[in-house]
Amino acid sequence: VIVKEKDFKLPSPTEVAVLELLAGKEMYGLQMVKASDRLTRGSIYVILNRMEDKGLVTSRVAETTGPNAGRRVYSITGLGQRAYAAWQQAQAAYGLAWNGGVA
Amino acid sequence: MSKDKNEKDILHLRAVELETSGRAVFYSWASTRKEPDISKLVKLIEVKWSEVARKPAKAITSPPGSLVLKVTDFLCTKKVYERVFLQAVLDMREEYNEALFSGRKEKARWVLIRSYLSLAWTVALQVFTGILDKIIKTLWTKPTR
Repeated sequence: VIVKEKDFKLPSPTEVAVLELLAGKEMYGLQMVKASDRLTRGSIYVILNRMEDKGLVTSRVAETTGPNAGRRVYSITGLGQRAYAAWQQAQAAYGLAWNGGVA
Repeated sequence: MSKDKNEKDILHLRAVELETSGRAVFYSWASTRKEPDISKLVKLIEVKWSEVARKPAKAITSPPGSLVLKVTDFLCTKKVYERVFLQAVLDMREEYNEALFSGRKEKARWVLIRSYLSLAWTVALQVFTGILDKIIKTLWTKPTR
């Protein structure tokens, strides 16, 4: 997915929660819901679908046979890592401004 | 005691009847020997004989969420079906099966109710974001001359 610099936006808080979870490992939706207070069963796959369209995460089919056939596991992309790093920087800058410029 | 290379574990199943309560507990274990291997003993199911005799055999039913999958497969694009609804139903089945296998029927029922409510929310959210996306794309796209 090619994203132009001008189209680059900071991720929403829910998207950050997903990126944070995927930072070091692959996970599937239910694992993310169980590991996070912010994510819910009803919205997780709509969010992941939107994030995949934006190029922040990518998915692959983990199991092709058995009762879990079609199960997808998600991982963070390079763009997702950049977005997460940008969000962290923005948070740090905001915290610095909030504390009156004292780190 | 080391196992002979040619010896293979055999799956055993034994019902232990509890005479006073009219119940039987089915145990299974995998071993080369016929004797129960206590360390590998797995309690499978507890059956009350009187209930088994009274109840007619249940018909084979579809797994939970089958109808949802059929409807969404028909109505949605392949991408949305595979990425959103199939995943949500697989989660529901996983949690439902976990509760059933641990013998917690009430929990399993609750999982089904909660999962169907979540699915309804997923449908609403998907429809809403889809419409919103189309509106934004229509409004923000520059007209071509």
